[in-house]
Amino acid sequence: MGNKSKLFERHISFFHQQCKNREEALKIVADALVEKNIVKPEFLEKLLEREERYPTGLMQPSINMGFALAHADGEYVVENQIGFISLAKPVEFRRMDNGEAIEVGLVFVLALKDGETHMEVLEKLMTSLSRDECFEELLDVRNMLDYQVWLESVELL
Amino acid sequence: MKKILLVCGSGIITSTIVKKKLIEELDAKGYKDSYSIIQARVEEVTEISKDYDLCVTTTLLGNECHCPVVVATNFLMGRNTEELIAEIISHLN
Repeated sequence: MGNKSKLFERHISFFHQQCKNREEALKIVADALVEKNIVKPEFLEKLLEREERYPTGLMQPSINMGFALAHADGEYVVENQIGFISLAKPVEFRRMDNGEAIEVGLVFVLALKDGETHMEVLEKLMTSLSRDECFEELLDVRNMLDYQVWLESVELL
Repeated sequence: MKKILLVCGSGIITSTIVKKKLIEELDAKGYKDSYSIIQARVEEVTEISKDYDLCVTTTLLGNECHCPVVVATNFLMGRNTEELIAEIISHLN
């Protein structure tokens, strides 16, 4: 518990959403973050801009699907928090390392003022998502309760 | 002392994760105190890279870089890290 659990405490999480594209998916999370005053109103615009110029998709080749770690500059963040959305049908993101289009089923939206302070959480998140079984378990999560169970299972709560 | 420029889109999130892993790996391989790391945004690369020996990046560099470049996204996922660290070390020798 302690500090790390605070990053998920505002429950900005959406499960198995039907989205046409990544813009729609990111908008759902960003709108909720703005509504709860966790980020500034420009956050969505900055998120989409960043995704366009410096994509945040990462591929998990063994299950032929990826995830994304969308984020914007810390200056648009009011309160540190990590939002999440899973897609009923994957949407296209681009890979961070080579810009290639990939199908993404899980998107974390990082509303963080800096990376250093949240190192432990970011590392745990990356390690968990790089494991097939954890990735697939999260794909199956349909509600907040199961999400919290998942977060606990990977020691993020 | 070799100078490593660590780059990601924002200069804060992914490069911070990679920085920690890079330091762990390099120190474990006996390179402690023989390198320094500075984090930067991709926009700054062209201007400052001439002063560095190596650029380690998690993102695509759309601009010119004046030192060798290694794409280190695999550090994030903990995938093929041995190959990656070998490539990085080859630029530090």
